[in-house]
Amino acid sequence: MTLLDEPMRSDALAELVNIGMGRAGDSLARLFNTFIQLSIPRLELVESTQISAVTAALVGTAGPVIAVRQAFSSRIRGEAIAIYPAAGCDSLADLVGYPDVTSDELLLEITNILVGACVGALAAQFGLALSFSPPSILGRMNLPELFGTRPLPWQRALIAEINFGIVDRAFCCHLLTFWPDASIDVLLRAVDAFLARLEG
Amino acid sequence: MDTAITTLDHLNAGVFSVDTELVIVRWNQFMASHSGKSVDEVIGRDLFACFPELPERWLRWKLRSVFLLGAFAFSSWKQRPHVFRFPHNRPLTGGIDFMCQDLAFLPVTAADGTVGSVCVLVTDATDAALSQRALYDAHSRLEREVSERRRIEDELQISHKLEAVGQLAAGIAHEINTPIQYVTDSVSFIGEAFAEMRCIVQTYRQALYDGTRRMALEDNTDLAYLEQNVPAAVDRALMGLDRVAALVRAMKEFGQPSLTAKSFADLNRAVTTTLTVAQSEYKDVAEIELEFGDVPEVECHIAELNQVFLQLIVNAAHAIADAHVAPARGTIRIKTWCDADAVFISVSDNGTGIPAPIRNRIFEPFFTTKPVGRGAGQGLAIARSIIVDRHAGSLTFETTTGRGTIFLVRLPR
Repeated sequence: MTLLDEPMRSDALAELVNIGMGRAGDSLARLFNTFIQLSIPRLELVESTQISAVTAALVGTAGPVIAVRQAFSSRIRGEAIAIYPAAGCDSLADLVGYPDVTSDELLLEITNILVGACVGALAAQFGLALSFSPPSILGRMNLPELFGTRPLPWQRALIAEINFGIVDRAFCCHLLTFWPDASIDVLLRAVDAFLARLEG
Repeated sequence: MDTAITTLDHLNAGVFSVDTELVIVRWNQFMASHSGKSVDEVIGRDLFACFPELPERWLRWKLRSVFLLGAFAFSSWKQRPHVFRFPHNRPLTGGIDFMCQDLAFLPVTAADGTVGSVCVLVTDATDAALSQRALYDAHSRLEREVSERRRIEDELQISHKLEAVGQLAAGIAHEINTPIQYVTDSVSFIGEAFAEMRCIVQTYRQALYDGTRRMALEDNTDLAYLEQNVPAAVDRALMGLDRVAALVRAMKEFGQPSLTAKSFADLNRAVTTTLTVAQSEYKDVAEIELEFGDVPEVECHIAELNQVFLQLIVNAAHAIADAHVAPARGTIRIKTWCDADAVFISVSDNGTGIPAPIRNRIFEPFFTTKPVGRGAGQGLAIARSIIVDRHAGSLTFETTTGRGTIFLVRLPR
């Protein structure tokens, strides 16, 4: 049985992701002292061969973007990719509260905050404590180049997509969180445990 | 717990923790030895009071985000190389001012689920930083070399094209020479024949009408007009042919192949030949002033010297064109003289002069300030090589920005 074959699991996972993202939004609002707009998270189970098409559909553009990645691990391992418009996130420089921030440092800072808040809150819903790697900039590219044409080291992955906006600012960022292969099973078990707790 | 603390103390990385008030609550041996502040000196004290040199606003923001979000935070040496001014780990080999550091900020959750303290891990990234700097330097060097190579290839291509054009011109000059010769002979013959025919017509006229009348036929053919204008037309044709022949001779002389052995040549004649060939380069921008001295023939490779003179004349014309707005014209002065040891040729112009920053580079191969197509940047380098290496002479210059330049060729007798 796969994750999305079972409506109960699928709904429970969506709900857990929703709650996690909501909490993340609240933390981000307090950190930035402004209102954060979060979309409803979208979940997709994707084969590695379809990753570019699915990513483009989720983000809604094939044009130039800046991508920043960050890995996380515990019992589940995965990677989050924050996708910014080509202009980056310089418009948020005043939000980070320290001077002399460079464009690259700002990209890394914002990505770390988004990933830490969202993926951390999500993991907390599953009772998982995550470790994070430092974020790194993948580069400025057209979206189809994100995964290139090289073979990917996984068969399929669960993707959670959420996009962020900030009130009164022309800023938008898509955060894609990938749980590949074995991590999906761990998530399934966590969802099952959550459902069992509800039923118990 | 003791074991854990001992392990922390032996880590080759800095570990310290601060509580929500940013008071230091943990300080391992690495931090103590690199900061010069012992555990007793810092524990229980405010982080920024102990280290006022820290980037306070930045660090407060980082710590606040970890306390608030309960998430990790990081900083990289690439953006913030020296958060702590720690000495580097290369006391012998050196190569860097301070230790480059990566920092990781880890939330430490209290029993109530809130973040009670933040543990900061400081790792030494100096080796990675030095490797990256070396790679960056190598990459930059390679990029410069590739760019230079591309430029040289472009210039070589232009140079080869110019050489081919030169050979073509010499070949055409050779081919034109023969027809010019017989066209000139024929036009001369026509001129002479017409003069004789005119005498004959005059004689017939005298014999038939005592020179008092003309036949109606003469009026119909406008013989009077022909008698008056054909000799002038023939003279003009001969003059034009003479100029074409002179140009062809100059091109042939100029383009003659270099001989392995030197031969004696008249340098005044060589300059004249070159001026004829280079006319299109200077005739619209400059007057030529010649001051030929009584110089002896010099044993030389004359075709190569022609190339040097051409380069100097063309450069002078370009400098004048850049300095004068038409119809204003400049002057190119060419002077030859000699002393007991050498023959001298100077080519001076009242053009732009050579700017001071590039004066020591003008003899470098492929150095040019001219747009692509106007100069391959090899001219003066080759000229100097011809004069210095092939003739044991010298090629020097004096220049004043805005006033002009004088090039001096010295050839040993």
